[in-house]
Amino acid sequence: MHASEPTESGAADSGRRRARQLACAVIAVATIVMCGLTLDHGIRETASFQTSPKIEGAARGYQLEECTYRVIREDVPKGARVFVSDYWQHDGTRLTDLQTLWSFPVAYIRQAQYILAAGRGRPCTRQMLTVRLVRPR
Amino acid sequence: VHPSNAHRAACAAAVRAAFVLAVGLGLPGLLPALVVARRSAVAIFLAPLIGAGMAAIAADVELGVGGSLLTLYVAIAVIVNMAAAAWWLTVGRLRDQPAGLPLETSILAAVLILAVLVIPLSALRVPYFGFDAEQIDLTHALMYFGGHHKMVTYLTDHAYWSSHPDYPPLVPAVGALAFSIFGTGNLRVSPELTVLLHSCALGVLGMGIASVAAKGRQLTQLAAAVAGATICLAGFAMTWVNSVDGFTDLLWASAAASAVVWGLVLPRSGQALGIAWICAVCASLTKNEGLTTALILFVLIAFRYRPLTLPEWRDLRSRRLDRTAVRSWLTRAAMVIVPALPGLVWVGLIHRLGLNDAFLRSTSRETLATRAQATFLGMGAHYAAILPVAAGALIVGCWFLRKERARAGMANPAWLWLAWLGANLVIFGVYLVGSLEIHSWLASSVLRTTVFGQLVLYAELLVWFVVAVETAFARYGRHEAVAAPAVTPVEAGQA
Repeated sequence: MHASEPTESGAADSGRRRARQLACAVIAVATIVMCGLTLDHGIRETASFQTSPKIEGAARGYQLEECTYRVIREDVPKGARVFVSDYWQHDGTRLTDLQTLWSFPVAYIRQAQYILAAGRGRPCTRQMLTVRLVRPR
Repeated sequence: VHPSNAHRAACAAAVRAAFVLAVGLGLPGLLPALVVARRSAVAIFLAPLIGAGMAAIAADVELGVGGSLLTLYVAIAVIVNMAAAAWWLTVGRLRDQPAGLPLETSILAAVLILAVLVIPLSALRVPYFGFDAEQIDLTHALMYFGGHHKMVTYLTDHAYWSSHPDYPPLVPAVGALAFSIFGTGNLRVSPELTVLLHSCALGVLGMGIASVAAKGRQLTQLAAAVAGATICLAGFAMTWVNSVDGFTDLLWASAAASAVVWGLVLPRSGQALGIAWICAVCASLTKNEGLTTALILFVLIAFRYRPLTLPEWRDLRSRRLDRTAVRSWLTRAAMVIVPALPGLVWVGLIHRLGLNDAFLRSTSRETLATRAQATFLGMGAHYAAILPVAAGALIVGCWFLRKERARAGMANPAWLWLAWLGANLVIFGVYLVGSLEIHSWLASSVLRTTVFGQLVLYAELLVWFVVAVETAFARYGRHEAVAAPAVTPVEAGQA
């Protein structure tokens, strides 16, 4: 009985060691697979942002920003109170945001000196999205 | 106008943004970063974050007191640098050496992280301009750039209420700083700076993961450095195009996740505490959900560094607090309130102007059950892959490797999971009581609001990975050590 104790303890130690090795392997494999899939997805995604159509689309969007910013500063008198029509369209919020520090957007047309709208007027991009400045009646 | 012009403008903006990051933010933040990080390359990533934090505090002062952002930023940078130098000369250099990575390994980890960050940052040559980056951050940057009077006038203008004027000031303040240096000729500098700040926050997170192996073998340290670089790429991969078009969510999420790793995972030290606080302060000044998450982190960090003892708990229940207990509670309170102050001051100033969070202005017509179910499914979809794997690693790790983890001086994983749970409960609660139609709100935001949670779970997985590698190598090393005398009996006899 006594003679068998060290052997049993040794077997238990060996089993515990093997279980721990297995645990290390499981964690390592799970991490490598999970991170590998994420990285693969990330690298593919970064490449997909840089295809020619994506670059052209992003460039058009950015040109619109810059052009709108410039046209507001050319056509709207500095410090004017401006009402933006069709505010809830994306162009409307853009027209409000990009006049910051130049003119003052107002929430109601009766407070405005000028009306700013996306529509016919100064050409801004190849898409013919334009900025129109109208004096209120 | 040809697209190549916009492409050229994007590249020019990237160069200007890198200059602002290195000189405008990094240089003023370098001395405080070195004082906190000591002999660790994490200072490279920490310095611009400290600069950004100082710019946000300057915006706090600009709104509350007056003045221009640039003047206030310079004044705050001078004060912070003088305080850092004074502290270093009187107390800091006498502290024990920090228990971080050896300098050479930390430099290797930083170089590896910088090298992998080139992959997502290559997208900066494409002039992406996210909706929030334009409508919120660029607009606010222009407001802050105009000085106190214009800042207040525009923020309180009803026409700007859809641009969330209550949002915290870090990203717009950094954009305004760039406009102060280069003028408003190239608007893209603002979103590109945000993307570079994402990289810095992710760099601090990656260095935190690499520091898990501080007491480990060289091979483990190398594996930890690779794990650190991996989480940086994973951060960019999680948010799709939003990581490179100027959305700020990755910034607060990675700063808060860095605070979790440095403050609630790595061994307790002044270095780790300082880095965790800086990162959490940056998160609190970046977005409202960053502020709520940072408050949770400050509380958890306070209790980890000043643990609640059993006698203290008994005294608290019987309402008998002696002087030591009172001092202990005051210390904990200070550890929460002081770092939270910049974020809370901003909230106070914004409320004084009568501005509220747009999502909570009214109540929704949908039932709470409908909103809860949609939110649970929406948030759950983003945790579907990583949560079971991280939870599995936690169970396996706690069962077989908890002694190895404790021997490395790391915190109980419960701290990290409490931070994850707390932050997610707050975000879940906001979706529940918010005013927007829940399905469209989730569709446009849940990808971004779950980034912090995902990063924290990846961090948990990678921490267990480093512990597993160290355990495997330790066993290998021990076998070698046991085998060594057996093959050199002559030397043993001579000895």
